[in-house]
Amino acid sequence: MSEATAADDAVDGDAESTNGSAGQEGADESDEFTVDIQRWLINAFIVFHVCGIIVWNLPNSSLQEGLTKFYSLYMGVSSSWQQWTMFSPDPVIFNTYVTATVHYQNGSTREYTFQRISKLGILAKYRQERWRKFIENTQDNSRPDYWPYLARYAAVTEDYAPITNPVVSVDLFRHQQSIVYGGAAHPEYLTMKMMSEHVISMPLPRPGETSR
Amino acid sequence: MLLIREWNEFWFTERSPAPIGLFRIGLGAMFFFWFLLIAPPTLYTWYSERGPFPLSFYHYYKGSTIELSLFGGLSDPHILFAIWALCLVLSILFMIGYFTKPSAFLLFLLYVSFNNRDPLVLNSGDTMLRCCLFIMLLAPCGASCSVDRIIAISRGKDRGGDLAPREMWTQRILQIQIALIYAATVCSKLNGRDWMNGTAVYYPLHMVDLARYPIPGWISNDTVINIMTWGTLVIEASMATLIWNRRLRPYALGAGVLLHSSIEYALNIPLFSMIMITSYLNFVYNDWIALWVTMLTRSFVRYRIEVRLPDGVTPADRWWLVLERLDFLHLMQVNASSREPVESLNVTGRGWQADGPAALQRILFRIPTFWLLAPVILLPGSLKILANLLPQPSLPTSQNHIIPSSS
Repeated sequence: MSEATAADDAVDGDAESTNGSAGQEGADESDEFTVDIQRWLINAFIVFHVCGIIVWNLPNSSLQEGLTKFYSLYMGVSSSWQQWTMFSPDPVIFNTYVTATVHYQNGSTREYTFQRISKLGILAKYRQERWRKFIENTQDNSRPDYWPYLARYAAVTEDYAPITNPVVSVDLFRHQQSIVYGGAAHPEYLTMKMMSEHVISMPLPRPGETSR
Repeated sequence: MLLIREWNEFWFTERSPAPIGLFRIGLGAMFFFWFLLIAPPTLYTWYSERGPFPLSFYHYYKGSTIELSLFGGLSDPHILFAIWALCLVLSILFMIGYFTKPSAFLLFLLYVSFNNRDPLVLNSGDTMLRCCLFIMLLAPCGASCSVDRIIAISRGKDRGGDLAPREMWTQRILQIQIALIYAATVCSKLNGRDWMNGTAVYYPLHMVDLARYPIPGWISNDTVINIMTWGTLVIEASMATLIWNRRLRPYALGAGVLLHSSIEYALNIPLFSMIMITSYLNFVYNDWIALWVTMLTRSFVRYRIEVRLPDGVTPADRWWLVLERLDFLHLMQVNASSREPVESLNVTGRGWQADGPAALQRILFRIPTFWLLAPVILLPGSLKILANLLPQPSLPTSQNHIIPSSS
């Protein structure tokens, strides 16, 4: 707070000087009342908001969980929800990508690879980066409930003959390579089958159509 | 009482709104690029039924969470495109400070709706934009460096000159938000084994999908990786702590710029680093801005011109006040002492002189706001257009503006 007292950018900033003289009467007094009310409201907002963003960033604990519930409505409506755990507590140590094998009614298959940023040029990397985040957030073993949606997308996209030869099922595969510390050559990608989804039961809008 | 006084000094000391005006420009530019990056077909990939996050997934993901979203049931790609185009326009309006408050409010509603429609693709830069824009709704962000102010000057509602200082508690909240980001990330990293043993930076640098430009081999050297890992922690910790000390603030900000420039080069996290660096404008003191302007002015001093206003037009006329306000490099000086009346606007530089529209052209070149329009100003025929914009001598009963000629 020491900088607040810096002489060169600080005009006398205490409450009295910014609120006007306390000795004024009549209309000025009511005005001062309004200013005071405003100041109290601002103070209340400052305390509430700053506490909210601090609570949201506290390390996980039962206290934090309880306070988060208290603030959840405000943080949701003000859209101040946040998380700043970039590359922490430890960075991810895998290169990962996801592929799908789409099975058609006539027995044919089609391979689909979800966007791999490493295969793109500089400008495309900028525009397509969200694919990396999306795959990072959906391929994890803790969220198998997201995988049918991945399967659905693989079935729908690049599907040129949906009526005559519909999709029967989709297999999803995760390909993962460990990043080995020390500059040594990284091992080969390991392929794991994530799921085999019978997408026939899911609504499959064609590109350009809506599901509703 | 001391505590209350300290509290009031911290939050309510009056200061210039110029830094937050500059931040608004930077933030608006970031929003513009953000929407540009999701231009179709990317727009349809992430926010329509064509993509991997259809409404069914959205409703499943959202559950009963209460959030601000206008797109909860939007599936028409044409409406989506129209909203996206509107967002581009709003970003520009917010950046230049035209209808600043309404454009900020609408931009907030729509940007948050985009964020909430597909939260699985958000990175920290997106979150930062959202949190800052909410506070900017409450800040006097259009008071400085804005078209709104120029309009106020031209209408006589603002006398021009330096802005009166204001209580910038919103700027304080932004400062705390930024410091908190670094505090939170450092606290989280201190629980990480790789951060503590000095190897953490190695992994992001070797994630193939995160790499942007190639990095030299020596970066992977143990010692260099250790320095970068612990250096990151030190810089982030200093951004949470030393930033509050006036003497140390420039060094902390410099280190922060270095950190984010490195991230921008090596890692493909679009806009994140640029947003963070832009947010540092909230830590800029007004006297720093004055110093930068002085340094710029010195380097441009040889381009300074002397302006003689036409007979009947005075430096207090509004059109001149507007130009004077925009001339933050101080390259124009009115010659008020000259006794010789001139019929048309006249400017004198080093060894040259210009009159009329050519003079106005020289003036516009000296105002950074018009630099983007330089190709237009140089077009053949532009002098005729400028001639219509020349000031007219004031009439006794009328107010002066840049009066378009009726002929």
